[in-house]
Amino acid sequence: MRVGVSADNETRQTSGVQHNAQTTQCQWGRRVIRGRQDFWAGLLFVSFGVLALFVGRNYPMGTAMRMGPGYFPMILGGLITLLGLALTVRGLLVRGEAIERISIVPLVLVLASVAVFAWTVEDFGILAAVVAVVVISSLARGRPHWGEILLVCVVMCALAVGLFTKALGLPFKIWPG
Amino acid sequence: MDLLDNLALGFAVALTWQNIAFCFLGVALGTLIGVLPGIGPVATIAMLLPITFHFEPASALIMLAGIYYGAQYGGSTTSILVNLPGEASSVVTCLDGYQMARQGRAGAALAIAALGSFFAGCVATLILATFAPPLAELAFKFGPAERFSLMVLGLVAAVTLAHGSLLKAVTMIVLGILLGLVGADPEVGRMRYTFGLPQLTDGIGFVVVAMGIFAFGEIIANLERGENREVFTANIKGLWPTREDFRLAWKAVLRGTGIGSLLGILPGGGAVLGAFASYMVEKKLAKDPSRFGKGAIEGVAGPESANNAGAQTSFIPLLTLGIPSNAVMALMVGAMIIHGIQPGPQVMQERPELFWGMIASMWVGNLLLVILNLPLIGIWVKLLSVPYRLLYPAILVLCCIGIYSLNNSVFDVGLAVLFGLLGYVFIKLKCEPAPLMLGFVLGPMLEENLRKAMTISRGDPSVFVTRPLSMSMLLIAAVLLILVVLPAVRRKREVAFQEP
Repeated sequence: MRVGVSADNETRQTSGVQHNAQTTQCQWGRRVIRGRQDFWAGLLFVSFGVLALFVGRNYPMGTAMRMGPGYFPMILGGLITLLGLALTVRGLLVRGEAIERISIVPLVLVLASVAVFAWTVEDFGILAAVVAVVVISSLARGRPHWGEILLVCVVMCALAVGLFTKALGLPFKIWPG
Repeated sequence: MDLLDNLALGFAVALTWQNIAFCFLGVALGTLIGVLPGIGPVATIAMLLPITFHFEPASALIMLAGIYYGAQYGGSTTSILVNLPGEASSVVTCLDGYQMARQGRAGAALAIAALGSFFAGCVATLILATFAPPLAELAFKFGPAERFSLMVLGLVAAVTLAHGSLLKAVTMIVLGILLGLVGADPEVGRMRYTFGLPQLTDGIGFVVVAMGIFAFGEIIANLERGENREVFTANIKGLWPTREDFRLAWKAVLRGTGIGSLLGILPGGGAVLGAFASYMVEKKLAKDPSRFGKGAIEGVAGPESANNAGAQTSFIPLLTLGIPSNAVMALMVGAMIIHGIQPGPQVMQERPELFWGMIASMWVGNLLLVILNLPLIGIWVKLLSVPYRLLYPAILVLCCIGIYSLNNSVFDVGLAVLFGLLGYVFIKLKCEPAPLMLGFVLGPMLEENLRKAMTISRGDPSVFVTRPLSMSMLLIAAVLLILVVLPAVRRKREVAFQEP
């Protein structure tokens, strides 16, 4: 991940000057990329813009009077690319804030809990899915308190079945199988 | 008088038992999420949207609107007691409200905030009722060219008034518009950016985008920060402000209401901007500005009135022109569409009971909020002691259920994971997500009107500048952009958003 790399650089800078090669690289990076947030945001936008232009390259353009499906997206794709480039250049020229540390654990666990919900809800039922979300996401915050996790599980399962499935009639399967 | 007839109709709708109950549910939920940091009105409304499908349209909108302005009340409670803004619009309330709490005057601060908000809410409701009909009248004269220009103006105003980098905000808007185009082309049915996935034929659901970017990204960022809260609950015995407090506060409330109402109407305004502006005005006007930041009651009264007034008047562009002015209003568009109502000037004529019922409900809601927030303040304070580690798994479960149940689609939940990742990256790169949401909702309308206008003008783009209404709107947009880019104004704008 691009963002991850730049965050790594930050931690290396703070962790000392043991690795000479790496430090030089950092100083080089700092001199060339003055505003990291702008620089990486710019690149992110450029990649979106280029993707839009590339994927949409075969959409019929039509004419200004009868615009085809490709007309507006091409304008937007070009615009995003240009704006993204401007942002990247600004990131190179103007000093800006560094990117805050990225913590991988909460990022992965929170998103994983949602993904597991998607994977389990239809095959294993709402109860299993709810328990999965609560347990996995709870691990994202340091040492788990299992008593509390159990409590949240019970409350949310009760809500999911009592309120959402029974009272509001959402078509959830309750049990696996 | 027309206004009275209309309001009478509105109250007839808002005062049915069912709608009072939904209004109560909305403002109570709003207060709740306002009190709880880490979940805002955008995520909440997104979460509840799918469920409102089962309600009557008027009840659904009354409840969702209640969540938004209710959150403004709740947000002030956490600002004052914990120095943690529950909502972005309560950031400035922290400055003096928290200091008052440290001096043992939390009760007075809470009471002034609630009473000021109530007053502001009542005035804003009247403003909404007075100005909405003529604006809607005007909107009926709009052709595709005007509608396109109006949306451009709305989007431009939204970025110039938002805080943070202008360049990033503009790019986020364009990216949002592009995301809004995903799916079948409305005119010829050609698939665009669906990557061969049939689930994307109808486009990306806005609940998916809102939930991913606002809720998931936000939760991950909160988890990184960790929590250290210090709650001042011991000292909220004396709830009633002193005579001196009232004497100092009433002018601030009046000014805050005015500023908030005005800035709320502007696209991109909403509740946040008014609160900031009001705080600065109070500080400028004060005889002794050094009291600010040390527990000046005007610093609570002004911004709190302003954010509540702004939250309500920001419904004006939505209800009259069909153009959402901030991310919450963008979701209200979604809520209306779920019920088969196309937001715009026609709502007032075709569904007067809906329109006026919603406005009248705001007054009812404000009354309920005062009751909820003054005598019952103890309950909300207790909720503050619920640790975040218990809350966020519950919030995540509700989000998952919400996303899934919109279309009973596992695909949507998976897509929300992607947007969650994107939202987190945006937070790290300091890209405000609200402009993206606005662009996303307006994107399809923007394209449709652009196409229509160009077809009518036979491919001549000058149609946008030769029609007077359209030209003046584009002109205002251009002036706004130029103003913000000017160095002098730019410096002021940065100060305005950073100083308080």
